[in-house]
Amino acid sequence: MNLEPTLAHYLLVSAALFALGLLGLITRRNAVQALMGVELMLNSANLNLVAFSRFGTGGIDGQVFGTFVIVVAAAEVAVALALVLALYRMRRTPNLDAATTLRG
Amino acid sequence: MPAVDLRPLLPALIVAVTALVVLLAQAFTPKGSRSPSMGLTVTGLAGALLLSLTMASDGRYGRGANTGGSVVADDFTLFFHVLLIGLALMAALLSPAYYRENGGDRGEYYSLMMFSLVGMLGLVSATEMISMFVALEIMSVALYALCGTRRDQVESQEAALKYFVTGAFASAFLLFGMALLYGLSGSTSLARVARGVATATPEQIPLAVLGCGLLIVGFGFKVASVPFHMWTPDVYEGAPTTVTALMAAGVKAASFGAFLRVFLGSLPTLREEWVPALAALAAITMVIGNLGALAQSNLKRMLAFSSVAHAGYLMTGMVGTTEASAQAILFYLVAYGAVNMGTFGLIASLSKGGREPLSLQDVAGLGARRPAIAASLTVFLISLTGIPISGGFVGKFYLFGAAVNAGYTGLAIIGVLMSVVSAYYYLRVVVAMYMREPEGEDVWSTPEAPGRLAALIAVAVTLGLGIWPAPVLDLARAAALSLL
Amino acid sequence: MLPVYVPILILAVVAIGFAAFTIVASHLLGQPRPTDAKSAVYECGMPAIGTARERFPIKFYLVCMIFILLDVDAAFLYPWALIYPQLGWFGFVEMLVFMTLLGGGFAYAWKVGALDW
Repeated sequence: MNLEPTLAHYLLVSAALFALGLLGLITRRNAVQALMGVELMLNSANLNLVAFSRFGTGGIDGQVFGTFVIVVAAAEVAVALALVLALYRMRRTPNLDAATTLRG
Repeated sequence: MPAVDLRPLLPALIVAVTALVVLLAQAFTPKGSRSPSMGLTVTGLAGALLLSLTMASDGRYGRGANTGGSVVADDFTLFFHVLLIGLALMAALLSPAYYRENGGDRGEYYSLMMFSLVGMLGLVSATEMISMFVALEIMSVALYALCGTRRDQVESQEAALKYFVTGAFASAFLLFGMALLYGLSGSTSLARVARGVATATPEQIPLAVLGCGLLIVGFGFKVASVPFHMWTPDVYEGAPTTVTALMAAGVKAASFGAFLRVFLGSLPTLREEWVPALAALAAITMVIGNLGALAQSNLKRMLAFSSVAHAGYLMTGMVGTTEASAQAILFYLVAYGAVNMGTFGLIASLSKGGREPLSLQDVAGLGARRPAIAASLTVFLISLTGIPISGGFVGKFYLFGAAVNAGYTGLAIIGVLMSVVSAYYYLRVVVAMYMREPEGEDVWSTPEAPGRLAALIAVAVTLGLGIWPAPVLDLARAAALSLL
Repeated sequence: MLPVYVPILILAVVAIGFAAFTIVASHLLGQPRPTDAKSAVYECGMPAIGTARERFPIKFYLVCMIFILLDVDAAFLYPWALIYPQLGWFGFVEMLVFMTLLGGGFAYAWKVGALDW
């Protein structure tokens, strides 16, 4: 039995991670948990990039892309946490559904 | 390897350095004295604009200088650079008065605005997916923070968070799509992706189509097309008005720039797959955007739905996939950018003590009290509707023409019908300004000189494009040709 | 299956076995005679106050975020250092621009007091 992982395995895992992240982002009420969903989605794409880079003809481009994505994600989360905190200071809750002033 | 010429990157570098200088100037200005943020910002942006203009008129960069492979400085890039820096300059002129009335005039605001501009400049010039993604994120992350710059106002914070959640969503989709296209072609360069897609084997086609679809979702969020538009009204309403102006004008232009470069420039071989999808999206975007705007009583929300509707008109132009359609989109982005900057700018410069004129009662009687402002607003609303002698009319004429030439006559008819519907909610504002009796005192500010200058530029551009569109049409054509 | 990993498996078994053996052996052979000095916290430690799951002041968040941003940005330095000889002056100037932007941001954060608590 051959247990060496192939490209297809990585793509499946990555697609599952993407779906989980999407689900988390949509269903979680807590803003910090929604952020985790975002991270999961970005990292599933990262896994894809690195897997393509390893198995495909892509050379090292994908790994470089992955590094940039990690840095960008860190910056994104830093800003997002600041926003969550600012809203928390006013609302005393990290829940996204509390953000209901704007509608119509 | 031919000599790398990095001069085309200079405008973006100037903007980035100015942003850093403004940031540090703010931090190192002693408490109590005013920091020179606004002056520095305007100087830096004007310098960058001048440099872009010189490069645009210098034929050498027309077909793209060698800048090392990640970005290109062709006519398309330079067209957008001049447009985007110009829009940011107008937003900077409008900002000081607005922030004085509403609190929070700080150097960080200007530097975030310029960082966002750096992202936009990179986004339209990127010819490679890593640069494109990083530029998109620089633009977006700075904007998330900008939306929340009114720290004491819960609407502003809420808008920032909502914009972040939907924006991050869009980025993730875009990134996943890019990863698939990379897997297919083995390169992150858009030219190699184009080749990879063109020579894809039958088993690879689903991968390409899936990647394409994810990119449409990502760009759909950024340009605010239905069904990815839910964030638009809330964010446009909650964000500080000058930021909304930059978002409506600049972000839409930059996102469409990247949208065009990826789809028209690199994925024309998949035309059969994405054109019908885009046509369907354009149709529902126009219908839902315009019907949504009908129901709004708040001016900022109404303009947000109008922004959704305009994403639909612009996508209608895209189904043509020829240089004529790219030309129409570029022209319309100029007209639309000037009009939005003008409209939101006037709302911002009228604001007083934390309040803005946002309802029909607020603008009632403006024609008698503030004839110049009412006249300018009328020009903008006429252009948004698409009535002749305004840039909006010429733009829509070319957009729908491109759709008809591509065989999508039905789409053009929907566009025209929806424009007629839109006349109701745009002209309602004009009627209120001129026909209704004002209620109560005139409580609004008088726009200051920089704000008046920005509004004047917007009016001049809007009327200029309507009366004598040829020069900009020629520039847009050259830009479109360098793309395809 | 995967015969190349057998040495790693052996290494893991030996390592865990050695650790388990020393712990058990010192328990059996040693004669615990605690005194005040011996039971005190080891010399570089501090007497514990309260639970470790205390909430941190929110200001730590800023320091954390700045640390993470600088830390992650340092990730670009490793590949750059690896191919520095090929990049030459061009790479040097490029990294200088990057570090200037990063340093500017850091100077800003420092000046506005994001690092004080």
